Amino acid sequence: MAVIKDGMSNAPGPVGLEPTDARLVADSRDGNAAAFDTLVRRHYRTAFSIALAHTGNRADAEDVCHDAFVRAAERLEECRQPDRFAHWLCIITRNLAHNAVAKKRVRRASSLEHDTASSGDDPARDAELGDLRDQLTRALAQLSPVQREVVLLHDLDGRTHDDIAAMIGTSSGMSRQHLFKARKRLRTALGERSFEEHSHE
Amino acid sequence: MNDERIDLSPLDPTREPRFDGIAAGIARDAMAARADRPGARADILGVISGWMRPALLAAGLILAIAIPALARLRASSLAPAQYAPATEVMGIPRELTDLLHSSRTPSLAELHDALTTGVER
Repeated sequence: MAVIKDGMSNAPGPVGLEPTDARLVADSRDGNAAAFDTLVRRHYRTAFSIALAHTGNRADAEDVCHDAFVRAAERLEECRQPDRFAHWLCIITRNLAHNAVAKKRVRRASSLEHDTASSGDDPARDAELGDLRDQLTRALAQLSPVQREVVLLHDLDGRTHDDIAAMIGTSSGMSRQHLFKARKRLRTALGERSFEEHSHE
Repeated sequence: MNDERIDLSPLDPTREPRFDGIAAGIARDAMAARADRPGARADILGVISGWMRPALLAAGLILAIAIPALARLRASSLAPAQYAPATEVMGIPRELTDLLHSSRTPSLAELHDALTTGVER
């Protein structure tokens, strides 16, 4: 599978080149839309990982992310540690995801929906990407919510165990255990062939 | 074997072509919601109240300076006005007008004194 680009790095760049989260939060509080736009682009994948871990499908995860960032913007003054904006955003996202899941349960909707991908210019590639997403989403559905959060934050968002531990409120050791179990179950669910297909690109 | 990262990149939302639009839409909605929140209006009031304090202080200072001056002005305006008689304004000596107002006929010496006093003055 052709990977478009490496987008794992979402941390602020070297000091002096990219503004820190604290700076961006301060500027956003002053009404600087560009600063908040940078925060969205920097932390969207983190929020999405958490939202997807709880909702189980991309469309709901995107809705949750949208609402989480809007909620964060409304309450920026409540972010007491702006340098840890991502952690604060995680709490908001998780709460909103729980609410979204609860509403879905009431509506008795399925949490595993077929996901259509679109790059806009290559239908064959879109179909392949859609299949891969579908497989991964089904495999992820077999994990516990905390295992999904850990594996998505680690393997999709590129977070460290210390970071994940702080985000989910556990120890670094427990984060490692969750990741170990999550990967084991994912490999079983995906099967060796599927795993080999898109693990080394 | 479980130490190997599982490639979850197909799930990465930031690799989608529409991600730019999604991010821009979120930022736009977020800032609009921020501008509409009750706290934003309170902030404007805060700015006004921030200006209110120095403005009140300046007004108090002006009053403190102005009140004694106004009081003095009022006192002086209430005092009876003292006008000079028209004859004095015209240059006629007071001694002469006193003689003219008296009922008796002045002597030559008195007239001389009155006139010379006026000239000396």
